[in-house]
Amino acid sequence: MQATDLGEARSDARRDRRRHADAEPTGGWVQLAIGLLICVVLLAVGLWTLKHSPQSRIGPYGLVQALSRYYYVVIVALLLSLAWTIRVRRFRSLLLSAHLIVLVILIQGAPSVIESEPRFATAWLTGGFTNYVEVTGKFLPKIDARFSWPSFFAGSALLDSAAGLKTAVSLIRWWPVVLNLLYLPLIFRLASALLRSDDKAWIATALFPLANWVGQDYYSPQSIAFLLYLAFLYILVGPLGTDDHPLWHRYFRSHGQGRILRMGRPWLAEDGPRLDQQTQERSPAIGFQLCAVVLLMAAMASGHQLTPIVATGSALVLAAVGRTRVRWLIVFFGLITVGWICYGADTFWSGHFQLIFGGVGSVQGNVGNAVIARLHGAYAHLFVVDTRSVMSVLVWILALLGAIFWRKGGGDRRGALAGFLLPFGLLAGGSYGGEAVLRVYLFALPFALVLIAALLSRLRLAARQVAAGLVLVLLLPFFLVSRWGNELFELVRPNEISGVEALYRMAKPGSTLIAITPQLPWRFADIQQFKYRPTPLTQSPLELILLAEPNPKNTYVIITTSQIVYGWQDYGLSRGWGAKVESQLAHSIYFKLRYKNPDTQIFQYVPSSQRQ
Amino acid sequence: MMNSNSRTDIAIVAACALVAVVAIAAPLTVTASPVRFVGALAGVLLGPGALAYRLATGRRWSECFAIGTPMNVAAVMLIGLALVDAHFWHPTPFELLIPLTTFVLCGVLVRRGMRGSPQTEMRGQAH
Repeated sequence: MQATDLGEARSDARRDRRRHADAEPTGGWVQLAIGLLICVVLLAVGLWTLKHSPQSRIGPYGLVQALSRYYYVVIVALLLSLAWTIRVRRFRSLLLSAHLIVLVILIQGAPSVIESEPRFATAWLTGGFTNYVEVTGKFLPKIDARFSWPSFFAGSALLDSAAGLKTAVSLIRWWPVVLNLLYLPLIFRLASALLRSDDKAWIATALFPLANWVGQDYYSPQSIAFLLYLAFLYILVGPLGTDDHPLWHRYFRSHGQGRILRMGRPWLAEDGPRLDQQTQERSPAIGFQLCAVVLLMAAMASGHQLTPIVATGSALVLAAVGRTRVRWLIVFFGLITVGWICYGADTFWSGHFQLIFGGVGSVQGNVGNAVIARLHGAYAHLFVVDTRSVMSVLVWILALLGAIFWRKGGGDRRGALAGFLLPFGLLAGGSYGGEAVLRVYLFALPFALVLIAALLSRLRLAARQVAAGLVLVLLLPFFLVSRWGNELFELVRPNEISGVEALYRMAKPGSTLIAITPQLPWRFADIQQFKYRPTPLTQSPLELILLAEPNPKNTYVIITTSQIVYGWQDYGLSRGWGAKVESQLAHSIYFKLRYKNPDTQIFQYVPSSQRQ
Repeated sequence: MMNSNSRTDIAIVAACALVAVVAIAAPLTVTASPVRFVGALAGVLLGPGALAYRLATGRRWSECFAIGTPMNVAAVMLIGLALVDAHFWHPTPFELLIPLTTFVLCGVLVRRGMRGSPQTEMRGQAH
């Protein structure tokens, strides 16, 4: 019955909107034309300002130092226009979509326009893995742990082959923009299912591009896994959603503890109108949706380490709070995840138990690894880390306020809160290479935005617009510093690519290649031909000699500007530490300089028989 | 008489079919070209996932594409994984699976639309 109520309420809303629209038959079209014109003009001007933001001005605070002042004017104008569009009656979806597309292109694609090479060394490495699979049709699980979850590489290789691409590196530049554009419809759907209102869902969706500072959307398995995760969540709480009592309700009732339930009624009671159960009576739809979640889970389980675990946990929690009809299938999700780890990723876990289970239960240690261990480096880098921390805490506080001040009848608070809190459990599972908090933020973000949208939706329409505009403008500087603050060492310089290509030309197969820090765009070709020795940080020639000794015939050390900046910014070394290492190697009898350009130096190890 | 919903259906199905034709024809005719690149990427965006979702659930097209694209991506990942694990890495015939399925589903959707099945009526309501 309540499903029918919701259907009627939505029909009424649609009728109201049509009535208003009919009253102003030309007004809607004028608004549409103006709105689209604004988007086109702002996109054109924004791209022009980015084209005139020189890469050479990127400094220790990242991209913000290079961006033209007109860029900020364009983005603020876009955000205000976006906030204004929230109250438009006709063509609202079209207008908001156009604004969000422009916003994503301008803020997520800024480095893609400014920088001469695709950014981020790890993305180049992932491209190299894909290239290897495309050429050989094999994985290399012994070379890199990521090959133990290889379906992303296989799928990408298949797609590259179909697209006729010579190298997957071609995809790197615009990958974050495309992925963010693909996330948006799912964020909207998820928010709409939880808030039971498209109006509020648009606010959550509008916040996403500026709140997603984590930078896991580069060409990588996790970027695709997050897309699958969002689709998985939406199917669970949307088409397969339900409004059941939570599990503990049944427990307390069966144990005669009704008093506890009455005490907790504000939190345990139904929060709003029931779900639209249009498809719930139709078994073909349910069967298809169940198949869809299994397909998504299978791809996640074989594609990324962490995402399937969070997805299974989310399904479990959503079932426990009575928000999804998927129950026993969760066992199957768990089996797929564990099964892949046991059989598909056996090369990784055999011998790495400490790496996998070492952090289990140690919340303090994992948080320390993820937060405190990152609080080092140059002042500018610390500023970026602090900004990220403040932004994350700000989003979490707003989300919690949204949960506390949830308007009765405003949607599914229980589901949103459960989904928001679950990823924090990752902190008890391990440090995940010091990235646990980043992952917590990312996985909690869709639900956090739902809660923030609920908070803003408590205001009247005009005040809501103003508040949404203010929050968007407030997030902008935080986003630009958090997302692009490390650009000085995350950007890839053309001379570095030339240097690495020169290295590949001069090194014979089987040579050892050493990088003094991991911030180097290499391994994008012929990954199996060389022995790579990326080190966290190597300052002393003695260490380099020790690394070179096992392969005395052909060992090369490559030093690039990005590596030196990384040591300066991230490790707090002196600005000239790289030049000092280069000078020591140049004057050492153990190494000779083989290649030099303004951003790269390559030294070859001299075996003892050839030393003078 | 054709209403706006059926016009939308026809336009979307026609676009999907066109992309499928491009995705099938381009690899067979040219080795590397922007057309082939666009065909492959659009083949994933407008691929069989959205059409199958529409057929099975009758939900709005916007939702079908939101869910269908990740389903296509997941399918491509698993096909690639199966080919490598089976030591049968011959991508050319298998990369045509996605557009071929799209093409078949376009046909099924058109047939069902012409018959005016209950699902088609439901799709109209869903808009």
